[in-house]
Amino acid sequence: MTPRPRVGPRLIVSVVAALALAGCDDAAPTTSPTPTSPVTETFSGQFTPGGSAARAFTAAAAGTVSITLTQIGPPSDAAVGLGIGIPQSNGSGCLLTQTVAASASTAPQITAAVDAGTYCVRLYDTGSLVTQVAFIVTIVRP
Amino acid sequence: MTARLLIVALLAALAVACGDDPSSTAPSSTTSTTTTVTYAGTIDVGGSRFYSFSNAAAGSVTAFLASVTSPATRLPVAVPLEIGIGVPAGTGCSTTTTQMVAPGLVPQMTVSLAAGVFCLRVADAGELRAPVAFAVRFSHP
Repeated sequence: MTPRPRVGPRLIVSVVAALALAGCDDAAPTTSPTPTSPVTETFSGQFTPGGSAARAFTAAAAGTVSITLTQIGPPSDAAVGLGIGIPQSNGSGCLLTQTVAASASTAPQITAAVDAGTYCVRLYDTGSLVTQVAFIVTIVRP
Repeated sequence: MTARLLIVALLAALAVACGDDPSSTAPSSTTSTTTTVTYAGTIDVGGSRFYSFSNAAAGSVTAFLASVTSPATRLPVAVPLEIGIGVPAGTGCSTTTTQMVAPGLVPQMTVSLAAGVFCLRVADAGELRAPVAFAVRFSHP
């Protein structure tokens, strides 16, 4: 029987210490985080004379929200109310903070500073609609 | 000490060294959960409303008046309201910090409070000419 080679205690300590340092190191991320802000959301739908439409969105961080009514109609020059606020806690509506009269545009009609949290956009007839309209709203948020 | 015993002892030490830090999972005063509340209601001319809440730990309470609207039209009304934070007193809320604010969507009031029961009060400070609906969003530990 061949005698086993002798391993010195110093070598064992060195190997285990090296393993300890390597094993306790924080795992390096395998991919770089993808920038997620600002985010653009599209809100589209229809509403009838006297009606309204609302949608909630979440700002992941404090920042600026821009809201643009990009398309509406027919007719394409229809004017409606556009507002931003916070959703009711029971989800039944949008409690408005500020509103503007808006027609289709490429420039934001509402720009608002917000804290991180959930907000809502509401479109509504201000009394001028005579038929159902379709709309597209763009929301840019943190 | 034999080599085998030395290896076992060092690996055991290594396992302990690489374990989770118990303090990171146990509740502590530096780790807290924030609760966000939307408090909505209506205020009559000269009236006030309040909402009691319990701070689970000491920390900051932030609040903003998110909405003031006409109950009839649900559209914004351009009047400021007074928001305040204090402690429940009898059937009311005795405020220690108040501020007149117009609706906005960023924190308008930040108050450091201890753990315990407090209240958030919304009041007309003389600006209303008709009842309004309001909504306040606030966060507390």
